[in-house]
Amino acid sequence: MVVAAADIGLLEVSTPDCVANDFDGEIVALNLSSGVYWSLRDLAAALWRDVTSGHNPLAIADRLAQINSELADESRLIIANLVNAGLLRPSSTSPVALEASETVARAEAGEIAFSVESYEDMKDLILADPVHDTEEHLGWPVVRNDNGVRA
Amino acid sequence: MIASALSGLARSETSRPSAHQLLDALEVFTARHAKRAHQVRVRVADLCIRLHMPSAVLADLYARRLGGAITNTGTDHLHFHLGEPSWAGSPDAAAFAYYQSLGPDFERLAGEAGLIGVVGRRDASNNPTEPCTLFNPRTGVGVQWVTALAHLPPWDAGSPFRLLIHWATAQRGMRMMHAGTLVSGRRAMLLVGQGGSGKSGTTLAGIASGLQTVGDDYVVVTADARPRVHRVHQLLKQDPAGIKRVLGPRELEEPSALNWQGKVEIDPELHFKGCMAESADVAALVLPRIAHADQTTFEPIRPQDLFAHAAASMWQQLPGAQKSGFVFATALTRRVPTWRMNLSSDPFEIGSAVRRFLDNGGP
Repeated sequence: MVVAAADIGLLEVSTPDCVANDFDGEIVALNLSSGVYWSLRDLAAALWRDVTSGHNPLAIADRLAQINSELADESRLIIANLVNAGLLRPSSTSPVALEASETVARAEAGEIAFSVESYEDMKDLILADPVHDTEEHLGWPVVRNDNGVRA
Repeated sequence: MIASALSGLARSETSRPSAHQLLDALEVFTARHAKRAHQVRVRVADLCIRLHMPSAVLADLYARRLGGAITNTGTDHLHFHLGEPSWAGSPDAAAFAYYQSLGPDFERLAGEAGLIGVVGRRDASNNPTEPCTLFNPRTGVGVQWVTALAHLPPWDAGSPFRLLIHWATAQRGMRMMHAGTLVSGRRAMLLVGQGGSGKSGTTLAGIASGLQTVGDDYVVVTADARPRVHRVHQLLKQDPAGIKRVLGPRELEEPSALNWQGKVEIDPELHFKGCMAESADVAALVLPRIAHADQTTFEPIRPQDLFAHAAASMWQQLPGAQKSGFVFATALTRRVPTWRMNLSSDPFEIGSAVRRFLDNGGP
């Protein structure tokens, strides 16, 4: 069943099907059932951290709407996609966020990029993340070579 | 030249050495060290590695623990150096003491130089818990710098060059993992899980029953459609009770001192000749459980559940290339059948059960 953004309340990571980790600010999440990897950076990573620590995504969208309505729309769409991809699910508890929303704070500071990518071939991703051979500011999996940078 | 490259590094925090200076220091040291060091070649995961060691004794020891010296001609894919900067001609070992004091800043400095490097935190004796280790992924040259060989951490000789091998294999799309292995024919069982789950004991039980192993500590796994596991070190580590359980009244021919973990380190080929395999196809990922059952049994386990129990051993324990390690470990659990093995108390019954499993392709 496809979940609409308006139906989403508090969320949690869909363990054990979903495994996720924070790599220097980038969230890499995988649905072990489907085998699809997701890379979340910038505001998308902040949004993941917010909703998995008890923030209500609808409340975040409302705050973002006061800054930029497009940011609010994008956050709703990303959350719906993450739920429909089996990475997040409605929370079985009622967590209370202890910190202010990182997404809102960063949007208030002028950030506008929600960077979301998904991949199905893990081998390319592994080869694209060798030791210190990744152009960090361009993001994974962009690989640097001797002649410059290629995607 | 080495003096100028290195002396500029022994500075206060306010005059942090540049990435360029670090790169120079690495190149100058390795060039000079290569002329004086004892060299020996080994092969790990189909990679030829030339070891540059400070003594013939260490060269022989490290080579034996990396599967033995090889004599064939061919390209050296990697050059690993272990040494004291002063031995290679640096007049100022304090420069390296400065690096060792940097902690996480050393990793950042190495990254700025296009290198990967770590230095361990200080122990109670003010010695770094990990040697100052640097790897240049573009040239395949790596170093372990120590101010004195006596400062090598006690686990170094038990798993020589593990960080450099980890980074070099990660660069090639492979992954070094903490796992036990048992092999029958060309098929291997990869034993993963937390410390104390029975990985090493099961490995020893298997080779005592005539199976082979690729290792019981660190192994390298490829990302092929049919993943393969490769030997890294030729050394098994087992607590004395485990040794006694498997060998019974039989005594070790050369009793060894206990290592830093209170375990006995044995060259398995000395006791179970022919038990080491170079590589094998990974047929199953297995999570052992010490069940003290009458018979060893296998039950399928969801990849999700195996990953939840074995994530640490599969990718979290080694620094560097963490993201690719996470992706690799998750992909491996999806690609290879996953099982839980409930162990009996009889090592030879365990060995027989594993052999049946591998030969039949399942329980």
